[in-house]
Amino acid sequence: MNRLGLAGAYLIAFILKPVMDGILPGHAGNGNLILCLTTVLIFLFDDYVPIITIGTVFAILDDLVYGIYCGPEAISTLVVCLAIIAIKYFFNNENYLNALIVIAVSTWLEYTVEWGIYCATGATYTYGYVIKIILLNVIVNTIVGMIVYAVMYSRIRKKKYEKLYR
Amino acid sequence: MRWIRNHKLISFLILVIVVCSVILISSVATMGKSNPVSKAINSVCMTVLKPVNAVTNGVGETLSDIIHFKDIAEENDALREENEQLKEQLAKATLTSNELTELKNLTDALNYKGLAESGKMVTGDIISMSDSRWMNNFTINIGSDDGVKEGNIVVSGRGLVGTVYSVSGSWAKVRALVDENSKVSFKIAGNMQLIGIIGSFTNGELSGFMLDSNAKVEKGDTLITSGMGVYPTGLEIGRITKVKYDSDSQLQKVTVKSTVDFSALQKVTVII
Repeated sequence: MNRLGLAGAYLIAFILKPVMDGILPGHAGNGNLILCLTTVLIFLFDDYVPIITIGTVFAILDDLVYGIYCGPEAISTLVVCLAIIAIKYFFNNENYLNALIVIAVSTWLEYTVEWGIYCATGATYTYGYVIKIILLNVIVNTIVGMIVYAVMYSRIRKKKYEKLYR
Repeated sequence: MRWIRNHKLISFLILVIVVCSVILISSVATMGKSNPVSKAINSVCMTVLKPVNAVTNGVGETLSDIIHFKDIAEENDALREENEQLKEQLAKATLTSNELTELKNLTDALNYKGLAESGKMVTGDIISMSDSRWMNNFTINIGSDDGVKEGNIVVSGRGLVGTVYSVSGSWAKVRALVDENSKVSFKIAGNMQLIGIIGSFTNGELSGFMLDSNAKVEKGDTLITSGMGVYPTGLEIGRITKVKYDSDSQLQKVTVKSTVDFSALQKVTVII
């Protein structure tokens, strides 16, 4: 995988966040592009180290710019990466239904871990309250993630096809 | 060393987890306040994100106006009516020049510094919202260059928003009142003798108690800051949603919903 291209993709995702927040006012339902990108890339590719490195760096940047503390999103993104690596042993990654389930579960897991970290630091939100709010995020992230997956998967298929019939 | 060479992925993951944990612990230990390194990184990010945000905010506002056209027309009518009522109230409440001179003399004699004198105000746009969707912290496009300092109070047209917890040259981070764990002393608008304290925050709602257990408060009453503590007097906090007498503590407890709609906030004012 081209590492420069990977960093470029993450940079675009990072810059596009305020675009999504600005165009869709009312921040409750906007997608987390960095999470979508990390989920799809880890699910599709086996070269984990660059994806986790760049993904974590951008998650830390996201925390620095948007969060109260630096680190909750980075740690929750790491947990999501580990979960997807484990899931890949049981799921075929070249399947749209599996991708849909993985992206939805990843979003739920990301926000649940993040909520746990914030609770440990003194936040007073109950899980019941949080789950109601993140439900919309799970839906939006799944849609955005599926678009990213479709684009990436079609490129992989094209490359495989070219290799096979060259 | 051999184990690390044989288990490269696991070693790498452990290293990343340790680094992230150290970053998180140090951030929590400093209560989220930025250090020079994070301020520098943040400033670079803000330089990139500010113009993007300015363009998209404009597009977003236009889209929102189109989507909510009917609501805006209704709101406009309601505001026009309210404006008329306020004009009438203003005419009744306007002080005569003698009364004004008397009050000025009195404030000079008592060396009183109210909100108008002690606090200049500076207004800014919200340039980024929290990624944790249930929390209400955000970044604004004004910072220490405009006189903003850590701990400054942030308000909007609807009332008290929160406080500035981290600041740099051209930006400042604001934590919402509903996410803070600080105590706020309040009065009931319309009956300034009814005083209470807000002491706990759950799920974005505030709860507190009245100092007088026999205080007559009811659902819908508006709470304003009393002026005791860090918050200046007269800022709207929220409306009472529930009143309950707690026989164990013998206190009249109130649950309050903030009047500020955090998801719709676009501009805020910092009292500096």
